Amino acid sequence: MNLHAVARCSLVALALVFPACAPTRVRRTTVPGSQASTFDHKSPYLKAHLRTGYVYVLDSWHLDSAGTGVTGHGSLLTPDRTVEHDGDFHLPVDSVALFETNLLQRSGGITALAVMTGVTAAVTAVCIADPKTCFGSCPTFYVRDSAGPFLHAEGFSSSIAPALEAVDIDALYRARPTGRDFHLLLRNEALETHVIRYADLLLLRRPVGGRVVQTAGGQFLQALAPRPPTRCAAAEGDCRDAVARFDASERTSLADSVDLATRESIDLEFDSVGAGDLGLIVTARQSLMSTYLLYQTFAYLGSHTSPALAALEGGGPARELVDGVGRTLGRIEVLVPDATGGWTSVGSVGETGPLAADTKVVRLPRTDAGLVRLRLRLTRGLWRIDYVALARLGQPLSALRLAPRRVEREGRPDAAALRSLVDTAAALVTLPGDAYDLSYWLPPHPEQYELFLQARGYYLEWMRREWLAEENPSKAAEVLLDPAAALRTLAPAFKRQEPELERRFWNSRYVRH
Amino acid sequence: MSVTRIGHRAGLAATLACAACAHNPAPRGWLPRPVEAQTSAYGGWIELTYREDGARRHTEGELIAVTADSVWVLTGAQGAVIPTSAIEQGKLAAYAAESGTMQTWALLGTLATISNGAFLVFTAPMWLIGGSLTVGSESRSAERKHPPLEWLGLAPYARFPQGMPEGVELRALHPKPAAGAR
Repeated sequence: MNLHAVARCSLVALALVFPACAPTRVRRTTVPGSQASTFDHKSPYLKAHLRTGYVYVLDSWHLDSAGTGVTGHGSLLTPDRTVEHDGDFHLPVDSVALFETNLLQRSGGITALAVMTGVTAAVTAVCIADPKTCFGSCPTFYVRDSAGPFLHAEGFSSSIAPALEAVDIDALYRARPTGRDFHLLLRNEALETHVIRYADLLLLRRPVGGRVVQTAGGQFLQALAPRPPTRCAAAEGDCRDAVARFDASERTSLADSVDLATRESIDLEFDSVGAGDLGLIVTARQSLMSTYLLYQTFAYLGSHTSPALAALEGGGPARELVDGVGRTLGRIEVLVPDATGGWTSVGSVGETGPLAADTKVVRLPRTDAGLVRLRLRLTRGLWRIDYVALARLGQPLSALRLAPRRVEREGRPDAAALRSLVDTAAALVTLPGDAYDLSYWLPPHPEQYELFLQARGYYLEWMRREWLAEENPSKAAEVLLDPAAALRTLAPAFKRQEPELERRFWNSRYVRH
Repeated sequence: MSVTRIGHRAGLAATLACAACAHNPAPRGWLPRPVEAQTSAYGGWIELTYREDGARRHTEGELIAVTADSVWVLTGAQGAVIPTSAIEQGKLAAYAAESGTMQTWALLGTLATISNGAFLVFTAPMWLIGGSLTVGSESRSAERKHPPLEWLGLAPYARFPQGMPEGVELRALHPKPAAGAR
């Protein structure tokens, strides 16, 4: 049983078991015998304390109509609390020093815990029905080159609420600064509100003939003499040209028509490799399969999506699916040959999102010089691989961090936006269609530096009209509860739309006119 | 979220919940449960800190009786009558609060937030804070303290809420049996 199953079982226990055994409190009241008519008649037991220290404990009792006597069944106890007599008793109230009643009350804390249980259950229900609301999307960052703005990064994709504010670092691998004045174009292209604390550049000195890459763990390493594979073999044949350069010419494949989780392999070979620490650099982004699955889930939720999202402060046109679907689809695994003739996984890469390709390195086990054989294992139709290279890994590096020195909006300086990005206590808030030009002043010889974008913030999702269609909560639940089955069920429908997805996706981008 | 972080959060929840609990001074099993307290003819368990001959002393036992000027306590087989003027503070446990159920509830509630995905950042603190406050409040529900309560405010939880009966010797009273007595 995994943690989520444990959590849901806990929730069932909270909802069903605990309210039934809710703790109680005792409300005890004492009144003098002379005021017998005022005591609480709801008490199932009555204690009559005598001046002698004896006490009657009665379990069925009533006060007579005149209010002068109490009749009941129970025990008479001595001051030492031994039983003197059991049976039926009639007590004149004036013989009693003090009457004591006790009422059990349901603890007030139960209400608080019940409310919290309800909130947790509601959130769980939403996350079961629409796990995508538990993840998110992000702002987009472009770098202008001679061909126009090029999308380099999407920031803090899982920060869908203020409390999820996070830092995200993306390689600006194709950025080639030609002068010290470097510009990033920040856009909000979705129906989202973006809150950006900062968007700083990280600069790392590039080794001669090499690059700087980041591991999945966040460490920056020198990547010396990166070289494309000498062989790249996939199901469609030779894929070497597609992955030899980071040039937006990507190696892609089509999804399986029976099971969207079907894997494929790409075999890589690198000739005449020298000894040393090696790493495989992979630049890739997702296809629109995960986006399709997300939107289909929203469609299945239909009218239930809006209240859920509103109650939870938004959710995202996020490109990730729930954990279960994400795990089932997987990342790009890097495998090396093992001693038994099989393959062993040594790491994986692959960030969620179909927009900007991200570059990461997977450190490989040390091997002898010569031919290096590797295998990539990935879900068919899910990944677009732009670049693959083998590099010798050098020293870890520390980054120089630069904040923007100027911000422009619609061609005019925006001092307030600049202050928002520089002041750690403030944040730049953008709405759909907003675009800002961020200017950075690089150190001398900027061409010697590798650039990364470090952004921090969060975003809030807006409701989409198309999510109201095709309401079918049971199918939405299937996506989450049995993602493997859902990926088989959805395969035919996805295959019908697969050829058109790209065009429809980019047409849906929010652009202010 | 990793298993380790979840474990840490659950541990933190348990720690907070436990830290918020009132300490029950009575011997284990001595105090009646709420349902038993309806028919129990014994007093609650009281802890007293008082001064005698210039020294600070401590005693605890069954609260036998209390008036504005004296507190009768049965400590084991012995009894003590302590002037209220000498008492610095007193804490009474009237019955065994059922905070254990709530502790478990709060712990499971925190655990259940794992299924909340990223919204765990809202629901987990809600359980950690709300749960510990609720558990703490529940554990103190059976507790009565002087101060702030006046001594007579503790009288309903004495064996003799009407006051020490004439002719009854404190030393002649037997302590409540360990379990099973009314």
